[in-house]
Amino acid sequence: MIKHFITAFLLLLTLSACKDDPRVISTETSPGGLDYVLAQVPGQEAVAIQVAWNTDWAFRDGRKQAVPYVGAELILSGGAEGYTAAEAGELFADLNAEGQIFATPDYVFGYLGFDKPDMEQVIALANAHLRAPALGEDWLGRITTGLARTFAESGAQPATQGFIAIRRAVLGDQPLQQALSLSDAGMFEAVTRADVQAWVDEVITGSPFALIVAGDLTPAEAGAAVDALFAGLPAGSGTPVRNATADFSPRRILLHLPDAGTGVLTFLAPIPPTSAGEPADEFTDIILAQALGAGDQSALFKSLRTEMRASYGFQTGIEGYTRSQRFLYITGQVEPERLAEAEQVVRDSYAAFRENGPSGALEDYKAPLYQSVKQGQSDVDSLSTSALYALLDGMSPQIPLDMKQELDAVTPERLTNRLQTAFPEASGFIMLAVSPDAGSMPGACVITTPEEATDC
Amino acid sequence: MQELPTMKTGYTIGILLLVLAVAGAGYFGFRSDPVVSVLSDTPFRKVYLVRTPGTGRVSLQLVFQTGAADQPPPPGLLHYGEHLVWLSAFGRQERSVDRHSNAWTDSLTTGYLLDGERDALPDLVASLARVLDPVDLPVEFMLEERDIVQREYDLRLVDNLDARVGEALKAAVYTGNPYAVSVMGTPQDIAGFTPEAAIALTTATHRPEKAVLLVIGDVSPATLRAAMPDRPSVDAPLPPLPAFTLVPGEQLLRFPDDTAEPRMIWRRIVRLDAPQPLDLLETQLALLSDMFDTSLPGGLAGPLRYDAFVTSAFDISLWPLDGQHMEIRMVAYPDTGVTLEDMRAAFETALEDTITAGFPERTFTRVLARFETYWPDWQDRGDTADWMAAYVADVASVRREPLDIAALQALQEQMDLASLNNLLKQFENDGRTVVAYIGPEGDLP
Repeated sequence: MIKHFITAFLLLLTLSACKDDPRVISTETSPGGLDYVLAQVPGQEAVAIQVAWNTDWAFRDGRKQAVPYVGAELILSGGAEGYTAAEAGELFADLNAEGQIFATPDYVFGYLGFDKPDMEQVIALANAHLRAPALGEDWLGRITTGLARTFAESGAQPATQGFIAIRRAVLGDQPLQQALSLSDAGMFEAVTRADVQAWVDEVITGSPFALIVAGDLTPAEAGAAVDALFAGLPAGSGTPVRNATADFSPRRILLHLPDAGTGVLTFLAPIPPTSAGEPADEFTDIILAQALGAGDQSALFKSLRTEMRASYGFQTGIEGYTRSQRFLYITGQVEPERLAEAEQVVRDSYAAFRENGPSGALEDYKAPLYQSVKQGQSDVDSLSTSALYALLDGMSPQIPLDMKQELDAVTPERLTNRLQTAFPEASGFIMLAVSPDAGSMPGACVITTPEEATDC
Repeated sequence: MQELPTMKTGYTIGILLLVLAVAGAGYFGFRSDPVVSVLSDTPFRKVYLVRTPGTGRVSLQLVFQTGAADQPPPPGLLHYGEHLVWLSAFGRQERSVDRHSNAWTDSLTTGYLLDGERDALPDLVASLARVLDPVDLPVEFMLEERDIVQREYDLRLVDNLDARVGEALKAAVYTGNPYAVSVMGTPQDIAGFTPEAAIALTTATHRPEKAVLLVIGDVSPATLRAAMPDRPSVDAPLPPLPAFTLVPGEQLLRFPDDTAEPRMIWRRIVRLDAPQPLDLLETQLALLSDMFDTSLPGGLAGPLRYDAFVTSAFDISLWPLDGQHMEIRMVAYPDTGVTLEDMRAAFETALEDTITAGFPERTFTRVLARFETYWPDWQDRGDTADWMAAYVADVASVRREPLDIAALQALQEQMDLASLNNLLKQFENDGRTVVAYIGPEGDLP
């Protein structure tokens, strides 16, 4: 799932109180020639380094689409030059450090968090894993089996099958769909060590697309750190990020699963990527999504639970298949015999929301966000993640420091404009219901497997 | 509404609340700037204020220290009652959209949450106190709410294998005890609920003498005191935990599911040789959990994950049920080609080896150093306040009184290897073991 710069900023907050120290975000070049962004946060012991490598692996025919997910886990799990797997794990624990690599279709992200006094040791450990991971066959087998089993169980859930079916409807059977769904256990079992090595060689290079360092570091300290972190990695700048071909045209689909325990109703429609708007637009989208479907005072809670009495609750969110394929979704459980009625209630409620905007005062929606913005100003994880995603969108990495002004810029007029120009019309959604009853949705395209959604 | 997750943190023995007669407030921390204040002479059994400087919003929790484990059948009725109380107090009341609210029921407590802007504190407290008022809802609406509870059951348990296993394990592990009672009940239970019975139950349980109010925000004790509702003062003891009686034995549960990831959940409860201070016990068990979760000598990751490929992943946790009983839970996923039975045997052998030999000093020393992160940075006012807020909420939810900061700091000094190994030995005592195997039929013993 794709996060965006403001969303990330808010999600990654700790509850620690804000320190009113001066913070500076600057673009730097290390002594070794690496371009990076430094977010200086005086007084913070914690340091965060975030990296994004660009890739088009998920868009290419002939590639095993499970490889990035296996590779991301194998790099950090199976040991590396100079460290057994056990030693590396214990050393990370001793240092209270955290390292992560996770793959998405257009970028592979890396995160390193640690305390400044431990920087040299942590960097050396991380560099060994990036430069010379063991990639052992035994660990490869463990990881592929584990991922295959995990995806098999989660993919069997009716709600998950519904999302897979929508993905099929939107993306067809192109490699990107396969990379996102990973619905065939054989995809993992087919991954070999050579596949992973090829992916590592292609993606984990010494010239990442974006690199952020946040902490109480001088440019000299940060520059030395990034040079050490990427020392010995192969040259190369990844492969250009591609745009996916997607068909979001509205459809009504019923996935008939006789064994499903209850009904699930999901709506999904595209909205513009964050790169196509201003930072204040993302705040606007967050407020609108919350007002639509988060919490007991949201429009959908009132219509579906308080009034229709058909659901425990609906969830609304904004995600993306890639950074350029963002969508708004609405989903919730409904008893099967009321699915058709609930579909109309959702459409009517959404249409009214799009026409009239959120109920209540805008300032009341903004109040909790202001507190989050304030707290995030001294949080190295929030600052670095937000700056990273800003870079991926071609925006200024200074955005994290301007959050309050961006939130100030959210006005009733902006809400209305965003609803009318960026949010879909009520008729613009793909609707997919999962039901044990094939007759739950009159007029819908009835399928029995997610794969059949391509034909709807 | 939803059940809040219970944080398994550990804390220490005894509590010394220094009550300031003049201000009517006790304090944890520094007299000049207490992190936690305890207001006395209020309309609730306890009122805690955790002061978080620089925050413009306040969060309030009103926790009734009575839960599903305290109630007679049918199971789930208190949860339905909690829905009605929340609807009557908040759900059908107009309020500003910045005021988030929620509620929960669990085995030991029932709670209500409300947050908002700091300046609105008096109104927030008054709003929250409405859960003490009689439920006032149309009968038809209350009957419909049973359907909502049914939909919540669907959401949480139907098509959710982990939740169903959890319910079955709870009944098996705590058999013969109130802790075995389901919080939500079954669909049949839910269908039989009546508004009258639920209101009678919440009227009996939602009492000021069972209520703990926790306020988190940048407000002073005096400000909070001024915001107290005009209700009679309450002086009541901490409601005791339901008595736990160990039913020794072993039980095996099988959960065949063609799409399930094969795994084992192994749980064991034992009775301690002698009662222990609960907070000390909780901290010791948390440290032991961390020691098991390593590849250092005595840890389980060596024999099960690194030296041999037995489990691809596992999670081990130890915690107290009360001062006389403790529980261990192992969730483990077998490696390729390893059967669930073989994995169980390897786990039990490794566990027994460590219990017999005890953890060595080098493992204890190394893990104890990491255990620093269990605690806040006591020198950091903000970090301490955040930690204490979570801590006070946590202990209120398990019906304990929170320790003050000095006692918590002292607890850190009480971790020693001999005591830990002695505690570990007691897992050999008579106990109850329940093992659940989950996975495709062909993978299950």
